[in-house]
Amino acid sequence: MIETQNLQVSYNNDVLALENVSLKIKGPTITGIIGPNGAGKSTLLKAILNIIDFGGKALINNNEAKKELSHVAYVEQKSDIDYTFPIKVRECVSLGTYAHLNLFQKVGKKQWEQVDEALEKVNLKEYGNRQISELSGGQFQRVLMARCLVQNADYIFLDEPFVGIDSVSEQIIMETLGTLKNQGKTILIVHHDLSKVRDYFDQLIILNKKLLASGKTEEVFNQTNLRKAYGENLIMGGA
Amino acid sequence: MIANFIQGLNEFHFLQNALVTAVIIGIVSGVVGCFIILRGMSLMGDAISHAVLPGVAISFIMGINFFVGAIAFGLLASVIITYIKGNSVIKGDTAIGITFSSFLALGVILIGVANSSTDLFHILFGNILAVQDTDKWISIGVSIVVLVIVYLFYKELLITSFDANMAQAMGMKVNFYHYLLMILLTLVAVTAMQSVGTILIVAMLITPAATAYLYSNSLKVMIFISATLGAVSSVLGLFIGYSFNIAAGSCIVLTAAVFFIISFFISPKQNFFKRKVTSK
Repeated sequence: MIETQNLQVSYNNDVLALENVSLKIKGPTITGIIGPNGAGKSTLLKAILNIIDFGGKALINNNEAKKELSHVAYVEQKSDIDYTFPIKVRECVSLGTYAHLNLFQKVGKKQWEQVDEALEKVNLKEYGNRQISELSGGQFQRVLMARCLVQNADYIFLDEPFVGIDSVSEQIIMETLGTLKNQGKTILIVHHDLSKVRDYFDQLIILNKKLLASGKTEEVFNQTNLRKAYGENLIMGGA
Repeated sequence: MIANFIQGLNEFHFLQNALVTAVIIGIVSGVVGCFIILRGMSLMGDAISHAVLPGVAISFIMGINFFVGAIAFGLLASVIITYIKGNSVIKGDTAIGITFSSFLALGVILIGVANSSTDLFHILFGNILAVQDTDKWISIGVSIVVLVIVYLFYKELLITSFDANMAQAMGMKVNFYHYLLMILLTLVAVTAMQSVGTILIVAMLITPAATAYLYSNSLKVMIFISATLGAVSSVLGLFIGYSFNIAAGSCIVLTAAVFFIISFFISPKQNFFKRKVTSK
């Protein structure tokens, strides 16, 4: 279970990015985090992951989140990653195995097998020796998905995984996530395309600096909550 | 000319020392340089290499090994830069500019005060032909330490360079590796001071690495190419400097630059000529 209690994040000491967010997410689930630009969606993930400083509490399995990070896999927005870095697809996926390697331990045969297996699952086996810059946006997102798979974490945080990718990649990623959920994982996805919310997420967190609603998608994904988040001018795709 | 150089190598111990030291420095700065440019810290590399100067001077005054003072000041500079960047509206490059120029100025004064036998000119611009046996052995020792650390922490240095957020989300101490790299950088800077001098160390760090980057699609390949280029540039530069009786350190730097310029036009990643054609 993921839980936050009065979680608060401020930038430059005065502007609040998140205000008193208290929520509980019980797995297995694929939970969407939605809200307008600047609502603090990514910030929420980063706070739970202790990448940024925050006030209040973030708990995973009733423990301080900081101490449970080995159970979490995080895929940041792919635009934050340096495409030109000299790293091949297989190596990039193998980074996920580091979570289970000790200091000074090198990636071994067993890990490389996991890497190839994961690449096969996302349909990229023949791309293993390419440099990441040679991939399309969708293929690269699948590589990050494979990296997530080898990390074999109970909690998976994805930041905008469906931005700028092709529909085949999107489908492969969604299927992979579905399988993971069935294995009992808790998956948290920052998302901004409202049209697919009902299809993708069983639970939803609606955010705009404050927590506006959270719960089962069918219960909270309605005009009232979305107006609170996006304002009156909202043009709804799916609802 | 080549025969002359080889004869010199047989004859003169100072030239042997110079060659060994230059090659070692070329290799180690090539390796560490890869991480520096991939992390976008070229300026930081420049800053640290200048900032060690007061440390060297104080070590002379106190009569301790100059690595001790150099590391202290190198780290101090990186802490100050990181602190200014993190705690004010001043941007990183400005923080670096202020810090390293102040350290360099302080260093120049302290070296004057120290009034040591070590010539300021030699510290600033290197004097590879004057390398003593002890300097050579210290350089070899330090370089081995640096290379072993890079080998041991390769995994961690790779992930923190490529995807620091992921590393942090795994619970890795990203800051620790930042400062570890700063320590390595300082060690390399002090070692390379002998060959190319404080002012030009940054060239040894980033030029071979940048050239290697143009050919590499994995970090291991890049490190290997960069180290090789660093070593080859050192040998060729020393050869040219010795043969024409001109500043060897500067020759090493320019040789490395020539490799870069050639690669800029012919490397597959740059694709300079192909791009020209397609853009027509």
